[in-house]
Amino acid sequence: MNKPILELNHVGKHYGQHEVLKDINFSLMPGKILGIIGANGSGKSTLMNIIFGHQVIKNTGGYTGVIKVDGQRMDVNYEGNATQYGIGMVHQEFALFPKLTIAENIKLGNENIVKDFAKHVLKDYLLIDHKKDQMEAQEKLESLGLEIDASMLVDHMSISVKQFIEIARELDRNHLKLLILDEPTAVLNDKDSQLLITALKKLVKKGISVLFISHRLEEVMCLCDHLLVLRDGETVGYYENGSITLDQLAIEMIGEKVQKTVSNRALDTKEVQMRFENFQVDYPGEALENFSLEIYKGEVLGITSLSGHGKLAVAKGLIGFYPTRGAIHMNGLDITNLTYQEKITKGLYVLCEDRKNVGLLLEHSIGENIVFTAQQLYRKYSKPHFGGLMKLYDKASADKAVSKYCEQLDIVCRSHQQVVKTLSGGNQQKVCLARSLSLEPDILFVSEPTRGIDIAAKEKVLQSLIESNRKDKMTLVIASSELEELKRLCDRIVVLSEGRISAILSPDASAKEFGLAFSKGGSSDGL
Amino acid sequence: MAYKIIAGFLVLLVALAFHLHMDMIVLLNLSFIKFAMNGLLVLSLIPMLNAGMGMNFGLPVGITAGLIGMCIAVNFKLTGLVGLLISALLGGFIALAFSEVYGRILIAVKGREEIASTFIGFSFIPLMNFFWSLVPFSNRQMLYPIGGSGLRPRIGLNPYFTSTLDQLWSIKVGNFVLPFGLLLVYGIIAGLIHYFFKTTSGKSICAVGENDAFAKASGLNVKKIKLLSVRISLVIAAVGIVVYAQSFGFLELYDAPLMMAFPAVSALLIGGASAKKGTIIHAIIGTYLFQSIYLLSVPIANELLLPEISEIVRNIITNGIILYALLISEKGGRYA
Repeated sequence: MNKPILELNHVGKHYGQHEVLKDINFSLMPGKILGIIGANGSGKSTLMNIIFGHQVIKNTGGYTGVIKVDGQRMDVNYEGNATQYGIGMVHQEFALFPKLTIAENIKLGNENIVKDFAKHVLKDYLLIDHKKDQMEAQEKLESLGLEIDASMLVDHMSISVKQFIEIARELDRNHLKLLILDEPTAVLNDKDSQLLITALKKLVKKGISVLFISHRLEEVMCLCDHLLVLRDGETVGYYENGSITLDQLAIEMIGEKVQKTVSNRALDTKEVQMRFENFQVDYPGEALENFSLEIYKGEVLGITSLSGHGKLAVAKGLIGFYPTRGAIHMNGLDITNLTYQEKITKGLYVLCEDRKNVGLLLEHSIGENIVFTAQQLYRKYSKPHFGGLMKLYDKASADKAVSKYCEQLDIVCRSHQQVVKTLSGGNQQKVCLARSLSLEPDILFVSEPTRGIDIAAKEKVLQSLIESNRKDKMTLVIASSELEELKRLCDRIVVLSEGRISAILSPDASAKEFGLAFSKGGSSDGL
Repeated sequence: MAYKIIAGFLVLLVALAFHLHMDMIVLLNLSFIKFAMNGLLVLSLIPMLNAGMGMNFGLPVGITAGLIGMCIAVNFKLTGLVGLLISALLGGFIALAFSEVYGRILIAVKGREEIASTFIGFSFIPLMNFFWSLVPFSNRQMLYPIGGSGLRPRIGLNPYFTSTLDQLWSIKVGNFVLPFGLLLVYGIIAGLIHYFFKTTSGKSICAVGENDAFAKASGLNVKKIKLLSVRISLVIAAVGIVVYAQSFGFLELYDAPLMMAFPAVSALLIGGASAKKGTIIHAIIGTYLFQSIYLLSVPIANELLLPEISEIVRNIITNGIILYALLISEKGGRYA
C-alpha cells in the first residue's frame, strides 16, 4: 500500500511556442485526496487533460515528463482510454444520456448479461440483465449516500443528483483507482456539497484516490489531504493540509505582483450613469444573478471572475443574446425593455469577446467593418442618389473615417479594402474597436479586449481605450480575466463568483482580497 | 467552376448546331427571349440567398401570387401592356401578403430554410389547386368548357398579352430580332437589385446573411431584415412569372409551378453563386448559359438521338447541378 497511485515527474506542456505547464511533480498515495487550486490560465485543465489522456494533448504534440499510474509508466500516446489505467473523470459538463434511466447510465458499456451461453458467437448481441444492472447501480448510489430509485429517467433529475450519477458511473468501473473531479461543487448548493464531501471521504477509505479541482478554497481545505497550487503553469506550492491558512492560500493562488496603476485618481464627481438592479442573465455556463451595480460617469470599471463565473454575461445580456431579468437605467432613462438598437442610439455599445463569430464580418473589408454599424443605425457615410430615392454608400466620407481610425489605432493593412479574414488577431481586434469608437458611445462595454492578441497590439488597444475614456469622457466597462490589466486601468474592479458580485475592490487591493473574492463559494440560500 | 463546364458544353452544342445546318439566327433570337423570360425568376432568388436563407426552393409561392394577379387581369379581359402592368402590380401585392406568412415560417426554421421552403412550395400547390377550381371567375375562356366552373389548367393568353413585351420596341436587323423592351424590363429590375445591395438596407441583408450574430450585435433587427428579403424575393418572382407567361403564351395553373424552382436554382448556381452569396452577374451568366443549353439541346437531340432524350438531358443537368453545388459548398465549408 505504499506505492503511489499516481506519480508525475517533470511534466510539462507546450502549445506551440507557449509554455502552459512547467515541471509539475507530485505523487498521490492510495486513499488520499489531492486538491488542485489555481486561477484562470494556471494550467489546471491542461494538467487534467494530460492525466486523462485527452485527444487535444496528443494532437498538439503530447507532453514532456513521465506519468506513472500504480508504478506503471503511462503510454504517452494513448488516446482517451485512461479508464484502462483505472482512472475515472467527472467533467464539469455532464456526459449523461437524459433519455435513459439512472441504472442504464451507470451501467452503460459495462452491462451484465443474462447468460454467458454462446458468448463468443453472439458477442455484442447477448441480452442485458436489467435486474442485476439495476441492483448494482442502486448499490453504487447508496454507497455514495444517495437514496434514489435507479429506474428513473436521468432527464428528471436535479443537477446535484446528476453529479452523483456521474460519480457512481465511474465507481462502477472495475478496479477504479483514481477519480478526477473537475469543479464538482460548482453546480451544487451547500447541502449537496456537504453530501458530496462526505461521500468522497467514505470513498477514499476504500483505497481510491481523488484529484479534486475546485475554486472554493474552504471546501478544498476541508476535504483534501494535500494541496497543490498552480499559477501560470508552475507549481507555487505543495502543502500538507493544515500547514497553510485560507488567507495564505488565496495569496498563493493570485500571486503578490507589484503593479503600477496608471489610473490612480479620484473621480471628480460620482454621478451615476448606469444602474443595474437585480440584473440576471441566463447565459448557460456563465450565468449572472442578482447583479446590482452603479456605474459612475467617466470611470473605468473592471469586471472579472474565473471563467464560467459570469464576467461575460453582462455584455451578452445587454445585447440580448440571452434572456435577462431585472432593470437597467442609463442616463436617467429606464432602458430595460429597449431593443439593442435603441440602447445603442441612447449611447451604449457592447463589444463582445468573440471576434470571429460576433465581432466581425470576416468576408468584408476593413472599411466596411468599421463603418457598418454607424452606417446602419445613423445613416452615416451615405448620400442620396436618384433625387433621394435611394441612399448609397458614400465612399469618400467613409474612407476618410476609416483612414482616421486606421491611423489612430495603428491598423496594419495593405489597403482599407483588405478582407478582415486575412488580418492578424490584433488587427482584427483593432477593427472591432474602431467600429465601437466610430459610434461615439457614452458608455462602452468591452469583453476580453486583449484575448489572443500580441503584446504590441494589446498595449495599443488598452491605450486607445484609456484615451477615449480620458479625452472623450467615455465611461468604460472592461470584462476581462486578465487581472493585471484591470489593475492597471481600472478605478474599481468588480469581482464575480458563481454569477454573483463577491466584492468591489480598488485596484490597489491585495492579492489576498482578490483571491478570496474569486473563490467565495456557495450561495448560502441554496439554489 | 460549374459555369466553365456548362460553357464548354454550350460551345459543343453550338458546334453541333452548325454542323447540322440549323438556323443560328433564329436560335440566337430565341436565346435572348428565353433568357429574359426566365431571368427574373432567377433574380428573385438573390435577396433571400444573400440574407442567409439559402436558395428559395419555395419559388412556387411567389409564382402563384403572380398567377393570381394574371388571372384577375384576364378575368377583366385586360390586354397589352395595361394587362401586363396590372397583372404584375396585383401579383406583387399578393406576393407581399404571402411573404408575411412564408417569411415567418422560414425565420422560425432558421438553419433549415432550404428544406423547409421546398416543402412549403410542395404543400402550397395542392392548397392552391382548391383555389383554382373554386374561384368564381367569369371569363368563359378561363373556365372549363364543360360545366363552366373552375379554371382550366392552361389558359391561352393570345387575346390578352401574349408576347407583348417580346415585341415591344424590338429591333430588327435582317433576320435578327433583338427584344429590346423585354431586355429593358429585365435590365431595369436587375439594375434595381444591384443598386439595392449598395444601400444601407441591402448591406444589412448581406450582413445578416454572412453572420447574424454580428448583425444582432450591431443593433440590427435580424427578423425584420430577413422578412424584407423574403418580400423582395417573392415580389420579383411574381413579376417574373408574368414576364414568363407572356413569352410562353399560356397561363399554367394547378401543378405547373411545382418544379419551377429547380431550373432557376440550377441556373443561379451555374452562374457561380455559392450557397451563401449570389450577385446579378451570377444570375445573368447562369440564366443565359442554362437557357441556351435548354434551347439547343432539344433540336440537336431530336436530330441525333431519340426525340425523348432531350428531356432526360435537361433533368440530369438541372438536378445534377444542384447536387454538384451542394457537394462543393459542403466541401468548401459552408460555415468556414
